[in-house]
Amino acid sequence: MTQPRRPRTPRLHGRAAGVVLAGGSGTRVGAGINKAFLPLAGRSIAAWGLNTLAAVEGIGILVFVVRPDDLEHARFVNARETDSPLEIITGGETRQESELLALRHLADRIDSGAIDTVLIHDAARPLVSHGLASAVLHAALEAGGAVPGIPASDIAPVGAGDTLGAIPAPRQGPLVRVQTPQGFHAATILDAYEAAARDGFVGTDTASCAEEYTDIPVAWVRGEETNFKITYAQDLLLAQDVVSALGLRSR
Amino acid sequence: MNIEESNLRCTACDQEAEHVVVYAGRFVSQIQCTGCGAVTRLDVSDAYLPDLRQRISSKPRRLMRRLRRDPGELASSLPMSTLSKPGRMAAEFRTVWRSRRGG
Repeated sequence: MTQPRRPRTPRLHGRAAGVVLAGGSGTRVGAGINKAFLPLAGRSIAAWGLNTLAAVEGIGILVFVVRPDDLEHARFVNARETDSPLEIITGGETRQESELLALRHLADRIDSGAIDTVLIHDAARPLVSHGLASAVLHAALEAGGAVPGIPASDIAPVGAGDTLGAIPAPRQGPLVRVQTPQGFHAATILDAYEAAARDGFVGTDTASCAEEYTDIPVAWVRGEETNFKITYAQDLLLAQDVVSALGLRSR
Repeated sequence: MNIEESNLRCTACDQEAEHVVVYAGRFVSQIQCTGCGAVTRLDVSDAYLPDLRQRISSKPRRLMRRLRRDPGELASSLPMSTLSKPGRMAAEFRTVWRSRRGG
């Protein structure tokens, strides 16, 4: 298959790499497309996050991780919906495997020092802001690892059936709902993922793997309510409303 | 009008299921769960015309960008997309009209 010519492209500058995961989860049924490629206000859900990361000063490389079935869609996004060049790779069966493959794709540049930090983001969170991505990157550069989080003061345990469970003993600190992008020192997180792969450890997100296999502190920066993940059908409508309300333009 | 299908979780039946998403221009005007049949419709008529104006005004710039990036792709796809544009716009207007009438 021929790749479209790309004479344009403002080159990205910086020693951080942005990794956007559009692997999805679960098995595909029917002839539908991955939700990451559903249009949202004129461009695909994935393109919103990719363009936001591309605009962050310090991010010099963008890796787009997709399923083999979605390569054609990914090439369309690269050719028509983003202003910066994407490095498109195919991911694995799980989120963690996709992250590992992305890190291995960057391994030479991480080893040479050309990349010092990686920001890993879910394609299904299209409305991450430039400010939040920048804040995560800066916090990751300072602390070694950083995630966005929303203080979750209103959560309650679920008990049997439809009832609430007993309130657990007071924790040592407040809880946060973790979002993406999650930023980490590149060499450390690459080593962590290789170690996790050897051990067969599967975490829920990048931070869980970092917590298990590194001793770098993971800072949290305040996330944004608008940086929600498109899971429910109604989330697509909500995202559309947010785009309109914030006056965001597809291009 | 553009119709896509994708796997999303249904707000009504709380199951992961294929959803049919109908677009009027750049707006979602209807979503239907193929699992339980629940339909959500949106009246997009108020937002449609301002957005259409924006699409028209930005069209030359978007075409120029495509020309700079890949002239061959543009040259090969433009004739067909130009010919089919009136039909696609008519379908789009019908979808907006249906969303206004609520179905």
